Amino acid sequence: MNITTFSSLIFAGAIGAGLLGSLTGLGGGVVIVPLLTLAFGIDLRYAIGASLISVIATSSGAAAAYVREGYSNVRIGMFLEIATSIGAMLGASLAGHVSTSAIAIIFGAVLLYSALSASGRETVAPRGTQSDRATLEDRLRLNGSFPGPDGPQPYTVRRVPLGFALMTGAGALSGLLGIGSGAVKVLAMDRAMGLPFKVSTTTSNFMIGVTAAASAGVYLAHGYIDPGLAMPVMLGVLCGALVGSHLLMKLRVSLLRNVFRVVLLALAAEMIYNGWTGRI
Amino acid sequence: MRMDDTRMETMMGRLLQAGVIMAGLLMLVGGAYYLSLHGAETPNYRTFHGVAAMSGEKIVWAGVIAMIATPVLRVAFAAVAFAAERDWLYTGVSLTVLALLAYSLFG
Repeated sequence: MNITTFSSLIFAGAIGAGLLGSLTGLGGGVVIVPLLTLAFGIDLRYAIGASLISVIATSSGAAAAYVREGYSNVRIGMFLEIATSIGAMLGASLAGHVSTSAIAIIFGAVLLYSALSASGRETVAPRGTQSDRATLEDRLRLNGSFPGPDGPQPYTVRRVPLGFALMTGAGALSGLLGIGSGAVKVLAMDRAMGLPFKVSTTTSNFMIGVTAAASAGVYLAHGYIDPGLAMPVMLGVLCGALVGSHLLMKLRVSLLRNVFRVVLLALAAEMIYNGWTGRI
Repeated sequence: MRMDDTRMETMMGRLLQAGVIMAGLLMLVGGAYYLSLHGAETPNYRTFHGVAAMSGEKIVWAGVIAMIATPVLRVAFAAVAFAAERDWLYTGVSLTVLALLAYSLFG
C-alpha cells in the first residue's frame, strides 16, 4: 500500500470519525484515536498527536459560531482555561512515561463513561441561591446571561473551586488521550458549577481548542505529531464534523445517536481489551 | 476604538474562523503537493521515526503550526481586548493562560 492509498483511507476514516463525533456530541477525538490504532495499527502516541490537531480544528470551527451567538461565556472559559492548560501539560508529559497499554485502558474507560453519560438531555441541576455578601463568583465576575427566547437569560455560577479542580482533571485526560474531554468539561460546568446546559456545552467547546493546543505543544516537542498523518486526519474530521452539524439541524437523530452509542461502546471495549492483552 | 464584550466576541469568532480556514488550505495544498511527489512510497507510522525534510511536507507543517497557533492567538487577542475594556482582572487571566501556552510550546 502506498502513501496515497493510505492517506485516502485515513481521510475516509476521519470523515466517519468526525461525523460520529459530531452526531454523538463527543467530538472526533474519541473516535479517531481508536480507529487509527485498532484499524490502521498506528502507534498510539502518533494517533493522539494527530487527533489533537483535529480537535483544535473542530473546536475552533464550532466555537467561531457559538461565541458570536453569545452562548459561550468567555470569562468563565478564560478563567477555567488556566486549569485545563495546566492539566493538559501534566497529562501530555505523563503520556511519555506511561505505557501505551495503560493509555489504551484509560482511553477505553473514558470513552465508556462519555458514551454512557452523553444522553443529550437538558439536565436541571440544583441552581445556586443568591446571597448578599460578595462571593468568589462575584469577585471573578463569572455570572452572565445567554440569549433565550424572551431576551437575555441571566444565570449565576457556584462551586468555582470544585469546577476548577474538575477542569484540571479534564485537561489532564485531554493531554494524556488526545481528546477534547468535552464530557468531563460539561460535567464540571453543568453539574458542579450549575451553569445552563447550553452555556456549559458551548463554553466547553470554546475551551477545548486552548486545552488541546497546550497538549499539542508537548507532543510537538516529543516528535509525536507527524504532518503526513495529521493532514488527512484533520481535513477528514473537519469535513465529517461539518456534515454532522448540518445533519443535526435537519434530522431527528435520537435513534441514530443510540445506534452510534453502541459503536462507541464497542470501540471502548476493544481499546480496553487490546490494552489489557498488551496488543496496543 | 471602543471595545465591549459583543464586539470582542464577534472579532474572536472571525479570528477562529480565519485560523481554521488558513490551516485547512495550507494542509490541502501542501498535502496535494506532497502526495503528487511521494504518493507512491510506502508509509511507516508503526515505529518511531524522525521527521524527514520532504517537499510539500513543509507546507503541511505550516498548516499544523497555523492550527496550533489559532487558539494561542485567540488567547492573545482576549488579553488585548480585555485590556481595551479596562478589565484588568481578565487581562491578567488571559496573560496567565498565554504564559502557560508559551511554556508548553517553547518551554
